[in-house]
Amino acid sequence: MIVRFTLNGVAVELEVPAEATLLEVLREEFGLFGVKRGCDTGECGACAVLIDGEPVNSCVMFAAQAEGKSITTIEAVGEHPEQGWRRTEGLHAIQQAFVETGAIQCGYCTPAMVLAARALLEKNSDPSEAEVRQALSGVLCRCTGYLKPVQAVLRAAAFMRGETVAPVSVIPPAGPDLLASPDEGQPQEGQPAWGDRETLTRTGVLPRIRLAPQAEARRSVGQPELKVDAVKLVQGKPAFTADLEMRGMLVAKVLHSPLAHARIKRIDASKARALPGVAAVLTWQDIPRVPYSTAGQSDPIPGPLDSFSLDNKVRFVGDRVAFVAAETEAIAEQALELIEVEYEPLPAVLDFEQALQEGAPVIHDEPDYVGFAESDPGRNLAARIRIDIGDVERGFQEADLIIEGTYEVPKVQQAHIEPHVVVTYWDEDDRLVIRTSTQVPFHVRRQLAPVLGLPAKRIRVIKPRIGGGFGGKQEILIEDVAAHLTIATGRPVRFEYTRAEEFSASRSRHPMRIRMRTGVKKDGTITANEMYALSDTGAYGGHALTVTGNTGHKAMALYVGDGPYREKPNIRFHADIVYSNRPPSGAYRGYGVPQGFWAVERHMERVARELGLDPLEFRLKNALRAGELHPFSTAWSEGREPRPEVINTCALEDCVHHGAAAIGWHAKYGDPAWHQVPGKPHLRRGIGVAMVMQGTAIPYLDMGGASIKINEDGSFNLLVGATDLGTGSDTVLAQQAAEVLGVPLEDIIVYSSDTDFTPFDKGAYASSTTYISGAAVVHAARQVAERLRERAARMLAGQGGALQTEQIRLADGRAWAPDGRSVTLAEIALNALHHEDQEQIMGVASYVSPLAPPPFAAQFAEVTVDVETGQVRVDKLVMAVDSGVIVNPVTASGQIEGGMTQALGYAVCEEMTYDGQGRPRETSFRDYHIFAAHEMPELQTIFVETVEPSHPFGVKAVAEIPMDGVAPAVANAVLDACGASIDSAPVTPEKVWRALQG
Amino acid sequence: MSPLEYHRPKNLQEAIALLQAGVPLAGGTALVPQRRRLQAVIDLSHLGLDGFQVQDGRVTAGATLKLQALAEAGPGVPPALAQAVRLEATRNLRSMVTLGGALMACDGRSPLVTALLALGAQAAVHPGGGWVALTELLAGRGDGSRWLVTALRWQEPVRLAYDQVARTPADRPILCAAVARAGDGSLGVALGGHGAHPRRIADTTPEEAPATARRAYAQAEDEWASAAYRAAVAEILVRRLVAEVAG
Repeated sequence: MIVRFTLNGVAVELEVPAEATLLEVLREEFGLFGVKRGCDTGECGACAVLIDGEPVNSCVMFAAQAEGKSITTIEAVGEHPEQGWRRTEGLHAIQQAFVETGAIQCGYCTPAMVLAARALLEKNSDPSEAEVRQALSGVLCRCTGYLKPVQAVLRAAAFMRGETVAPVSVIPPAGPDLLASPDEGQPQEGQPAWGDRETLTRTGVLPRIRLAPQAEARRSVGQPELKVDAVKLVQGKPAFTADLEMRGMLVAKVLHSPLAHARIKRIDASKARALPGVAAVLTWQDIPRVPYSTAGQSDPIPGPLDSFSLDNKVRFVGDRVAFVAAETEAIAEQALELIEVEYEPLPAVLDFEQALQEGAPVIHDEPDYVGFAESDPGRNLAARIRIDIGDVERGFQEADLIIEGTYEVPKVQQAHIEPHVVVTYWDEDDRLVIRTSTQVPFHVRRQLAPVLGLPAKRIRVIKPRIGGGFGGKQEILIEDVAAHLTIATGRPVRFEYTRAEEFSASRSRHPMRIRMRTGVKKDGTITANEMYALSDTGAYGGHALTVTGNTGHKAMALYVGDGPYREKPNIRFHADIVYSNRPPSGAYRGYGVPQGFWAVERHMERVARELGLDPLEFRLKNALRAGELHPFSTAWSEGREPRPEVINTCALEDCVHHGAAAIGWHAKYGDPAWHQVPGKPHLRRGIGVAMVMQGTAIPYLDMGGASIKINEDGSFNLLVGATDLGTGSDTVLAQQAAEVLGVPLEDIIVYSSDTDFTPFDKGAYASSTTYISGAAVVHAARQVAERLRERAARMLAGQGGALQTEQIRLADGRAWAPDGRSVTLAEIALNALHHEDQEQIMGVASYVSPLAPPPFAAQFAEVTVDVETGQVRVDKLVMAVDSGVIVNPVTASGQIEGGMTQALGYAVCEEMTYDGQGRPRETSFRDYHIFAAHEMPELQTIFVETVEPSHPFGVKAVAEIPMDGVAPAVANAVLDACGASIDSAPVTPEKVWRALQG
Repeated sequence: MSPLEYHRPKNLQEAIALLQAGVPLAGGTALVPQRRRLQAVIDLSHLGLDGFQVQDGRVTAGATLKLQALAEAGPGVPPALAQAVRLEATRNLRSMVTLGGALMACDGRSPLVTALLALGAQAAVHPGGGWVALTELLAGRGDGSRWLVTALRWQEPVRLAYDQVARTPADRPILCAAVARAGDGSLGVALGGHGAHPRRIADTTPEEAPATARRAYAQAEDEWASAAYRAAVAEILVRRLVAEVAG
């Protein structure tokens, strides 16, 4: 049918199929890739465009409905300020504000947010914070926690009104007592707050930082530099995997199992293959049977090889049955319906408590299963962990009191807004190119090579920008589907998960049932601490050992005891990780540690209360301190040889001090009057805390590489295998290079990552990039700096006297002699590349750490509970964190805010549940609720810096630790409010109500 | 698979004549995700059914009025109704979802339809054009007959109050309730959160309303909440809302 509308100011008329959505037409007919596909059901808003000035979601609108309308996409909003000789007006004020405030992380939802903001500001030039939050509420963001996008819109509004908007300030000189955000102003008089709360959006863009006194003043490291990919992302440039047009590209679809456990007795794809437009249908009979692990991990894989691209058995509702490649998505979907499958249903394990019972159905009975360590598929045991540190039984004997408790955590989804997506094609050298949204490009190449029957050298993996991952893309989840179909057809293939597939057939956080047993003296000294975790890996066990190992390795390491027990702690961590007929569990930000801290921190609250001790003092009395041995470091290391690690830095006590002050702990905790809400007798306030630690990389294993070369204008290409999945790692790596080379950040051109061109990096997981890859960048930059200084010394010597290399200082894009003479880096580059003793100045380095220095944090929550209905409203979250030196306070606080927001979902609303047939309840964002902009509590981030000596700039991890303590802090606050002790996450209204019923 | 037929009737008569051929298309947010299962759609957007007026205390809203326009309509839309509208759909979807579409696509967890039921809203249904109570219309959904809602109307209440229990402030309700007090003092009470659509509970007095609500949801069990919980909380919310509209 013919449709006519105005698109970005231009009248267009085109013929479209009636069933085409506006999203499809904008992307496929017009190449407007700034319009993103996120859910196909209208809930996420990533596909938003403006129609007659109103934000609408183009995925749930027929293109035909746009007849006569005016459509605006992000492509019509602003442009890069530098377009050669052509003058431009640059970015729109809203885009500029998004860039400046750090409102962009992965950038996948950014175009939609910018458009929503524009729609608001065109109607209302002076919106309140509540109005901004309402305006942004139609766009889900999984990265930011919304604080910075809201700040961006308020800043843009002020700028557009002609007001002077202060720049996002640089950090002032270091000082031990600095806690105020540098650009913090006072809230404006009469400023509308969100509900009855303030969220600081009018005040500081930067977080509060307590700078380490021994930190050196630096020019780039420590500064709120603009994210290097922000300008691209804020314009909606075609930077993501799916933003690619190729002639003859096929669309892939997967037929998923409707049964939780069954054998495929017969499968007939002949009718599907005969359908016009179908290029290939693959079943288990058509491709080689190669056992492998879908978990992207270093060699050797620390888990069983229990997966097959296609198998004659299905092990969960959503498991793979067949692959289809067709000319269009509609044809591919039709072909799925034509595949005839006869299943032999098998008894299923749907409650993982039953997996180990005698006579339970065996999920992995295939003879080619390859086990790892103590995996025992005949007993549905994917992995088993038995760690005993010290003399645990003696510790219990010495206790005055032994307190026990059982705690549960659910399966939850990473819910990155960009789904899993991959494009595969043969290049001109007949090498298979896999362009994929992955956190682990090098693992994809290595692990898929045998599956595809190709040597690794004939595979090239390209990682473009990633629209969020959070561990979900540490999985080699769908790359093989497209690759098999490209091998079968010889044609390019695009495969993109739907949101429903994300929920039914991707990976998720391991659900666990955890039993705690703690021996204590009456004075609060822990004498022994024991955890047993039963962990559900679902149908496949790639991350079974490592995720659940970290549950104990991190969460059970924090409380070692006091006095003699501090010297020799008694800790037991046992775990069984079992197979079940539910969707597989995998990596999700925190990697087992949030599960552990749910149990540990709910339990520590119970212990403190039973002993009548202050929850802060009790915890700090027993907590790990600097200079002590990480208690698990000699016991376990992700299935590899453990080696002792000493904790160099730990500012947990300072974190507690500053976090408690920020939330007003001492004025609120224990004050009955504060717990009442005047005029609302059914409401009670509560305050809670959790203390947490994480790790920074996997010692002796995680390696990152970097290369840096100089260009003729004195700029540098920094190539890293490290995988920026929206976190800003490209930026903080570039900052570290800029610091060493003495250049502004814009002179570092970062590229990540491509297995053909960038050095190896194990990928984005285990909170390692800033630390591991950062150290590699520093080492590579130092090599380059040395060569620059050598040449500069020669060049400057020619102008007057001999100079030693070490006398040359690099700063401000120049090499300086002690007497103040200098040459620019461009002059050095021209000298090196063209003039004399020609050479390419470059450095290549890598880094692997003998340590995994833990970040520490205190997380606080304030809640209001309706004691009649059980409804909980989280009012405020505060996190004070020791992440070492903060390379970029804007991107780092963005990590904290986003992480706290995901963890808030873990606390109160996120869970994946299944019916008696193993079918999921949650298949869309309609039922799987993630927090939106207009329902957020106040978020506050405090960085308490330490200088970790094992890193050149003193950094530790920041990305995962915010996931760890929010849920127990919220539950502890609910307990404080009303006495309801909820041991099973999430804390839902009915659970609270039932607890209050007694 | 035959291609989708897309009809753009220019007036109501054309639309009614097409009803046997296809499904009415309002905002599209519910139908588009099912597009591969549709044979024909009838786009209602050119029929001029998006009016809104308040006259002599009676509010009439066109079926294709967008929810965002309803939320911003001002007089005739009490704050509690605007609140229910905002809870019904996200900001972007409110620019798309129509009043009639929300009604026809709702399940039991609809804040908006709960509020409309409390208001005693009626729908103009074609063919025929008669006004039908929402309770009747909701019960008749899915019976296979082809009809079209063109408008809704309700009497402005003296007070309307709405509340819900959910996991987060903007989540879909596990239980929601609305109470409207009319000019003659009568109460309209509706519950949502369960079943195929929200329910208006039988005429009741302020004193009896909470207990009536409890009984109405005594069997309201599903995968989201137990009946015991819903019944207890229904009583609590209705008790609070009755007090609120009395104040």
